Amino acid sequence: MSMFSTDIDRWREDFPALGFTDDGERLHGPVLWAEPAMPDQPPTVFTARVEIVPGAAFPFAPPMVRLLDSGGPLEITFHINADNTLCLWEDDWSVDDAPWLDPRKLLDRIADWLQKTAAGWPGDDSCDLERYLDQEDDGPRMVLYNATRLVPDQAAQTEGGPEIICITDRARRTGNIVNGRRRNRKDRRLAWVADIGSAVRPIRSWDDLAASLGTHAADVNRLIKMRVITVILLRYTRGGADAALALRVHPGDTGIRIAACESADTSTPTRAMRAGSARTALANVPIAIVGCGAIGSFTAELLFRSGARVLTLIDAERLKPGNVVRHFADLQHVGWPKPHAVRDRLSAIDPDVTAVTVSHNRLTVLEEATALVLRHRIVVDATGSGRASSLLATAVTSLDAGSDGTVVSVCVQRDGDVLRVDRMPLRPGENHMSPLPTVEHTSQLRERGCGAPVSPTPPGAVVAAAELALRVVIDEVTAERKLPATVAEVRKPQDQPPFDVVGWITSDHPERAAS
Amino acid sequence: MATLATQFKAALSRIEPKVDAENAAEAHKLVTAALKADDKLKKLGISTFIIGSYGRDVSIKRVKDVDVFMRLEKATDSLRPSEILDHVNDVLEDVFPGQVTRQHRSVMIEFPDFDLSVDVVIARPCVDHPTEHWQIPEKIEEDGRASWIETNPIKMSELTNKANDDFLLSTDGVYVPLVKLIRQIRRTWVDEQPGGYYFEVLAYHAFQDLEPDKNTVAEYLCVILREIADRLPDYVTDGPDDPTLDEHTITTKATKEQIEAAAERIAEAAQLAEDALEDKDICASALKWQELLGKTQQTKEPEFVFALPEACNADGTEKPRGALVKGAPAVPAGRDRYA
Repeated sequence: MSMFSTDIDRWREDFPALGFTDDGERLHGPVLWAEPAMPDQPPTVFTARVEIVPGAAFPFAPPMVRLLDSGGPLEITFHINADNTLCLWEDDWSVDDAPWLDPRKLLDRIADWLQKTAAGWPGDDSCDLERYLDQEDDGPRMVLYNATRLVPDQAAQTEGGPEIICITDRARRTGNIVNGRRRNRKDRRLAWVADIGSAVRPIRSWDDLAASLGTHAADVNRLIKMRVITVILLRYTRGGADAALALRVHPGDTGIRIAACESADTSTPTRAMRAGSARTALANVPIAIVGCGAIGSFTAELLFRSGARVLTLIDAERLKPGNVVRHFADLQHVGWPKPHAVRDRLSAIDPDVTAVTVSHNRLTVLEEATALVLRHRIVVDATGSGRASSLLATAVTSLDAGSDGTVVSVCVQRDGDVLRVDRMPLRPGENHMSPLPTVEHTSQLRERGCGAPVSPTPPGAVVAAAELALRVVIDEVTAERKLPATVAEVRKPQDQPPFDVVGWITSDHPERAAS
Repeated sequence: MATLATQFKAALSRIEPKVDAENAAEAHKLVTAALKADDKLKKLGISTFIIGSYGRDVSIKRVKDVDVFMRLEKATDSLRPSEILDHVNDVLEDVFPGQVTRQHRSVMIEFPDFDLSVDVVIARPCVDHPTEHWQIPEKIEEDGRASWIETNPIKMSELTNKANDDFLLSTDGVYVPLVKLIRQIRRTWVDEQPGGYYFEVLAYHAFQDLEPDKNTVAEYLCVILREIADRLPDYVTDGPDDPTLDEHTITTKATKEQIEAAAERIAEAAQLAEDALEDKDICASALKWQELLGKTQQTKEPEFVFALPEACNADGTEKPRGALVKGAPAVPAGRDRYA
């Protein structure tokens, strides 16, 4: 018995007073709803009868509601699930304030559903035509397409499969395809692309689909029966929103069977949607990342994910297996120069890395540093090296007043207990925060052989530091300029104030730590 | 008002005979097969029909006996019941040696593995109304002849089915479940007599007279029980009308005193049901329903028919709260989150 049985018992008790019968399993009862009024006429009120069953997911999900009798003329179109339960809430709710826990709100919602159905769901932009179709019964599939390259009313070749089917932009003429063995082998597994405009009712069968294909229906029917076309991609709109419905089509004894597949757009605008609000500002700004180790690689990744595309990656080292745990690149890149490894990983996020340049060199002289700062709006110093950092700091502070070159120097300290980002040059009135005193490291990790000691900084601190650097870069690039010259995060309190309290400290408010 | 629909559904399941019903069906099948294989009974036009509460699907746990109505469709008024009962006894003894007992007007076959018995009652078409109902021997004389009594148990099955189709809760019949609950209440509140069939007929009349249309089992139970309580005192001398035979009333072994005592007890039960329904506190209400329906009877480990909701302590007080706490957010950050 569910731990919520008590709550469900109490919830049920309200229904008999609302005219519902309760047999201990199903609640049956009336819901009043009004047909949309015609001008100068009062609305007609109908009494529908519904069945309400709190299913296994209740109360975390709404109860299952089925329409037993609409009580009046009603064409059921949208917002109904394949099992005929009404889809009453699109959004999810925390169980403590879920509206369906109040029987009156539930019944009001059902009445609202009936009224909207009667009105044809005006203004509704739920692009969920998949809901009304059977799903593929031989396992989940995904159909990929590039929305910017689809040409309606023609067939296109597909590639991949069976799990993932990509619709290419290679069109195939289908008018001359006739049955027989001499058919071109390229005319197999084609996808038919159609644009049906505004969807006024769901597609539930081949007949519905054929109606929406218009004059092409007969031809498509013929090609499906010849197993030339196996996928149909329907573009449609609902309430101003664009959407696509991918269907697998199979000729069968009783006609053509259609089943919905999950589908997704591969076009750049869609893939860039989740990059965040700084995407446009970052897109064309040249940014150099000096040091493509732990923090530098993740900073490059976050910048690239956020929309930065003109990147220069500089590092003189190659990737070791031991780096990988704390690096954006993976074991496949061991032995690669770190900037090349990072660039390759960026190309897995967006294949277009033409503006990402790499340099497998060490920054050693001031001229190089100055040239770097001049060529880039932002230089991220993720070297952790006193020499490289001071070269960049010197270069940027020596520039003419008119230059907008900025160095953002990021590091972790105290084995990752403190993260710190300093921006240079200082603006008028600014100061950097005092440095943390150096402490003696007691246990030093070293890989076999000689070389620099390995920092015990955990990967989480590295990623957090990269994210802090990202924020400072975005603050600078977007010209918001709300962040002070030094931003630090204390993850574990240190002995020295102001680093003795967990939280954020900045050069503007070194004494005030966020709780 | 507390209607506790989930608990009533579970209570009905708890008094359902289940295993007994499967055993009864098997026992009936074996007995019928043995009877139908006999030539003499074949010539008399044997056809069997399960009667009694089990036959009408209104029996409750436990089912101890199954009544088989052995119709001899070609029997005439010359039929000597004593002779036929002897013959049936012999036929069954051959098949079920040591399990058969010749009774006063029936033959009983015990099925120890099932812990139940089958009673075979012989019947002939009514001499005066052969197409309408049947007669069973009332008293068998020493010469083997008998006086006969009219009966129509098949009609009662038909009436039961019709009532269950007529009175619905959601989409399912509510008459049969209510008769089961009334039978359970009789077992809990009334001494031996009047018996279960007597109360079944009272429930039948209550449904027919009131034509109730309620939303829950609890509400149906209240009105039917109240009607039975109100009507019982009227039947101290004559029983209620027999719904299967015109101008007949139901007879009972109950004495006048027993009927008066039953009337008093059922009035108490009806009051308890009304109090339970009116109670707004679901635990206090549930405790009253529990008292009303008592425990399962003739079972190895009697249990309360009506289980209290999980929210309730055994004394009918309420546990502090359900799993779902109003105002205690399950998501501290509230809505409008992304992860």
